Amino acid sequence: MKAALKEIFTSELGIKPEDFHDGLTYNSIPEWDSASHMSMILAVEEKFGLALESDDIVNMTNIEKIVDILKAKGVPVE
Amino acid sequence: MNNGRKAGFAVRPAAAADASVIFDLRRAFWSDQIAKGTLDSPDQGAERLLAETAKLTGRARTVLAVATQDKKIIGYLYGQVKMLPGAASSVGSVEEIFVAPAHRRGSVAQELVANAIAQLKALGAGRMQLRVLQDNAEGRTFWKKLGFAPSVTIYEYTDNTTPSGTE
Repeated sequence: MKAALKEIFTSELGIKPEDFHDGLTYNSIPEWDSASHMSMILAVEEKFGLALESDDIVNMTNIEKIVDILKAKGVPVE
Repeated sequence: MNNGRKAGFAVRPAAAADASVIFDLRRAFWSDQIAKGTLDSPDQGAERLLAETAKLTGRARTVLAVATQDKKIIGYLYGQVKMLPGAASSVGSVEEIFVAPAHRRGSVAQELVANAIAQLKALGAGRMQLRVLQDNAEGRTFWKKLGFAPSVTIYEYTDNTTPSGTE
């Protein structure tokens, strides 16, 4: 799952692969802002084949929460 | 709600079979943006755009509508509902709108927008937003007429202070 998220963050948000880490939070880097958040969400839905609820979308504010939400939806960690 | 019928056109949700025509219109939209200086590349990711267009129909929180005349697609609007951390309400965002030049000034764009606002509200959007370039006077007039007003101004730094002719 982390590898897929890393791929999404590099392709959708344009960050360098080496800059992806567990401590990333919404608005902590210029690339993850209000303009890119929904692009990331759409990519996550597409990658894992699921539909996220409104609460999930607004709560995906850091990598740990994204992982927890995806785990709760049955996405295997690895 | 579709007042376009009186003017000879109709607005309907896009179907998967419309993807190739919408792709052509999207390329025209981007070319228009390039001409206005919004984008740098004359063909920015055409393959990606084509693949993305095919996925837009039926996508969650997305509005993709087309205007048709005699069954021919003459314009499209792409919008989406954005849910952002910390925001008081979801935002309906008009991402792209384009009407073929031969069909402008006939309320096609207005009908596309009216349709989109209704759909975005139905999808939960509490307010509507879009981006207009400061020097796009025609665009600003159009959106003002439809009830939109500027709420945020983005300031861009232009380094034009370097004296010319220096080494």
